[in-house]
Amino acid sequence: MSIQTTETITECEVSIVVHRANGDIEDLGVIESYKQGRIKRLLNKISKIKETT
Amino acid sequence: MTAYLTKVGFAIIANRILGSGTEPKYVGWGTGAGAASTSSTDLSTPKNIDFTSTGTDRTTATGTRITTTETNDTTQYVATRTATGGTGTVTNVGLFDAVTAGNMAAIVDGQSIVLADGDSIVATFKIKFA
Repeated sequence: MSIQTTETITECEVSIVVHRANGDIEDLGVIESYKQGRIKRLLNKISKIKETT
Repeated sequence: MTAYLTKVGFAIIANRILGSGTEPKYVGWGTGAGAASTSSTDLSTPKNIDFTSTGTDRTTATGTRITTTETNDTTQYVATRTATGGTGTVTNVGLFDAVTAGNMAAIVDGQSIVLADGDSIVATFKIKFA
């Protein structure tokens, strides 16, 4: 018997902080990964379906 | 704005697990308006740290393993990239496996970061395996 499993479990998250020459710092925060966004959209769709049923 | 691990990025990671390929630890930026996707292979209008010249110079990031969900399940690259040569607007930032040319493993688009001479960005890429 052979068992094969494939899971897509990798994602990328990016955060950017700007350091101005005058010493000011601006934190632009975490930029959502493509996968996180896709999951959120799916969850929204599911919740809308639940609301209408 | 979205952060993408590119299709090429997946190939790089798969290759690295086998002990091959080159570490994606070089950060570059671009000033173009092009939208990124998982199919992206380069920045939109790549620029050197000197905004007056078009090019692909990149900044070497520091790579570490950090914990997101399980111990050491995330590879993190942090690079500080400082603008020179006038003002420019950074719209996208990418992570590559070479100082010039090479392959783009990840990209974030939708930015509008106006940088003057001497301003810098600290870009942190987290590739999570959990």
